[in-house]
Amino acid sequence: MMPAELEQTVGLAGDTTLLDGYAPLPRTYDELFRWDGSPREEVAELVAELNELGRAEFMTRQKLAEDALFRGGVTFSVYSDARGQEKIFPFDLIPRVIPAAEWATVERGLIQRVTALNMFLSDLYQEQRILAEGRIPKEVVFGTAGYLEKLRGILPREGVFVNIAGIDLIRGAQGGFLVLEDNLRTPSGVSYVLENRVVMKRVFPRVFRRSRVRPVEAYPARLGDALMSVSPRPPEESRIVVLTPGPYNSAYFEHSFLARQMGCDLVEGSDLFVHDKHVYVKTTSGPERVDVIYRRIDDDFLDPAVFRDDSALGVRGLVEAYAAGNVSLANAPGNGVADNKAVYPFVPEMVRFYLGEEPILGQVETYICARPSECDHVLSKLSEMVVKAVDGSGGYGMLFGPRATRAELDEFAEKLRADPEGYIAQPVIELSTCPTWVDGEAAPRRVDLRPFVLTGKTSWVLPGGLTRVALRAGSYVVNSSQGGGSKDTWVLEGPPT
Amino acid sequence: MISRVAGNCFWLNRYMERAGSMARLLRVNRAFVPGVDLPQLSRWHPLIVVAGEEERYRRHFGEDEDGETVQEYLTWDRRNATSIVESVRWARENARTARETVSSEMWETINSLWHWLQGGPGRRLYRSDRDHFYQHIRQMGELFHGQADETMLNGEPLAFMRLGRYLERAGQTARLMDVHYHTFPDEGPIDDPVRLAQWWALLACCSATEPFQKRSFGTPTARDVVSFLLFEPDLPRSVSHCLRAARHALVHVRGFGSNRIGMVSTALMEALLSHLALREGHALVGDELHEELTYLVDSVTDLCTSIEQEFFQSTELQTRILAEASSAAAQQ
Repeated sequence: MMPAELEQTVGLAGDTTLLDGYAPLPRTYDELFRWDGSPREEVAELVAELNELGRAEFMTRQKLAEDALFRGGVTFSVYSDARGQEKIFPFDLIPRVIPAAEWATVERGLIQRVTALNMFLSDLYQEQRILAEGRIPKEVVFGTAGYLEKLRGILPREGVFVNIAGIDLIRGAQGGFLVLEDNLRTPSGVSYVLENRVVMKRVFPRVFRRSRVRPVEAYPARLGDALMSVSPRPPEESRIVVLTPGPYNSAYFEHSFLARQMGCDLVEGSDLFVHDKHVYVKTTSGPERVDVIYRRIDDDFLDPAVFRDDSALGVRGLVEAYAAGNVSLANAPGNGVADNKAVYPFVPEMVRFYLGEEPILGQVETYICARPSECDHVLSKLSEMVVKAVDGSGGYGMLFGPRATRAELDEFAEKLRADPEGYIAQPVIELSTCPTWVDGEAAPRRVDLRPFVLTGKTSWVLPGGLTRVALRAGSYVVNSSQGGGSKDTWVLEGPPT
Repeated sequence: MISRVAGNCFWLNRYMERAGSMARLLRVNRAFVPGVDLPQLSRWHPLIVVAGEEERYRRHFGEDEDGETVQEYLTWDRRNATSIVESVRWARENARTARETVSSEMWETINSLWHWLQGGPGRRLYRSDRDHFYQHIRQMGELFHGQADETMLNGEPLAFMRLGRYLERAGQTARLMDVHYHTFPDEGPIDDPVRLAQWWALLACCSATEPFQKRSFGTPTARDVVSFLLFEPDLPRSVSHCLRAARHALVHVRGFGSNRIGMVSTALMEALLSHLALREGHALVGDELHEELTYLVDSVTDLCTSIEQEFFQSTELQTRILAEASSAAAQQ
């Protein structure tokens, strides 16, 4: 079907409307509806448009969208065997909408936070002023994986450690955005933002056009600019590559997508080699210098000469070339120390320390189990807490108190007592919901948001980001590995000036 | 371009060519077998030989050369590296790995062919209308190669794709002829009806029936068919045409590169082409033909190995180039 035909179809007579009877959850903020069930002012028109479509038509388009994503190979998930278990990242057509004014604040807050995190890393790998002045306890920084003493004294070009950040935001019951987690190593998901948008425009051309949504298409070019700005050689001589662990990595689609969109080469570790502290890529016309590597493999695997020597993914001698200033790595190695869960509670302190400002974005109250008094508090309220392993990610290794059985709570309490340094705890946040199409009707499902911040000489925030949605009723876990899906995120244009 | 990715382009096209060619072969043979009275061994056995799978096939199925078993083996069997499903799988793996280089159109074609084979629709059609099944695969192969020419920049990646496509094709044609060489009479028209049918099948396997009819009148002679398939410059699947097209691609590729990489492959390619030029016009029959075809198949294999070493698996060569450059710089 062509978009032109799509525009003419409207809901059939007698066909129930899409969002009628949608009931937001009690004590929970809904992205599109007020507590009384009426649409929020800025989305009233969108809701009317969706209602006009009707259920049957909506389902046709949902199918169309899924087919398009599958055909295009916009898939995730690891091959469990060579036969290839690929799935599309489930995509929900009802968009998540963020009004212009609210986004403006988020944008400033994100830039502020990323700036402070960059300054923190820069400080930590040089003078360590923030530790000397006692603003962050030393044991928090050195006690967790992520800090790489070997890299102390090496400063990336422009002093930027975090060129690409993915800052996970959630909305609590009061509606304000809170930072849940910083991803400063190899945050993924942006390809879904771009692909979802393409599909959305195709299946909802009219709704989309009328909503005045800020475009996301500039991302690859902006990423290219940010990477180029840290090249050791002039742009016209520079070669940028994207380094992937390979096609069996779950985010491989994204690696290849970004390389394609930026017009640069996608390489694997075996394509690169180091000669005389310079990095080269093997090409069909001989070795060629590489200046900037957007690497999507973890620190541990980057260079077998420095980190894990069993790594077949990395490049021997890469860190030496980086230290010599002959190649830029984005993101810089060693960032893990700034985005782990033990350091998270101190980010507001970084903002105050380095910038002399109050943080614009709030974050979730966090108990540091390494502190005996806080650990006792957590243990006494375990059933109301989310407890996370400091080194865990992807929703693994955590306890979700309200959902755990007595036995599970007891078992977790044991683990916590045995290794308090390994955990932090947070009160349960009632994540905001957004209407989501499940089993033939729109139902409230919890969402988060991962905006992306690019930093070269300056910072830029992609309008919107990846909205992930927990598709299971009542679930708070939005990770794609655990039954999460995604939505297009619409940041609306401000009023014409 | 990145050496490894060049290899992906090369192999992607070899595998797609292989899948399409196997589908064509199976389809032609299905039409051919019922029409002639042949000893059991001459019905499906030649296909196993062309696939280079005699040994493995015998290990799994012994003497059973029933048409259904052979078709199943050559189409679906994952143990057979040249089965259609395996060729498509590896083509897709190569495309996935070089996803940023392969055009979206090509990727969608290969991806949908793969899903079609993997899912129900392919299997169902295999059971209900097999001719259509093989035809579909063949057509997807043709679509794929057409898309390569129509949607890729005329640059190095496409040149490697063509290189893979034409070398695979040259080898295929030579192998197909080799399976049939013993049925070619030394002289005169082919008048035995069974042999004639075999000959027409051979031509059909090379998509050469209609082209041959346009160039040859009356009952064909062995010499006509052999020289048509080996030397006809205008036939897309003649050995000569394929090798020339491959040379064109290789020249294109080397045009981008230093003289160092591709030196050996170019020498091998030139040697093979001059060898072929010398044979042109000679009547090749019987053992002489067999020897010639064996030589061609082996030479193409050697050439592919050399391309692999010089262009794709080139770590050693690349390090040497840099080391030489730095020592030259040091001397100055």
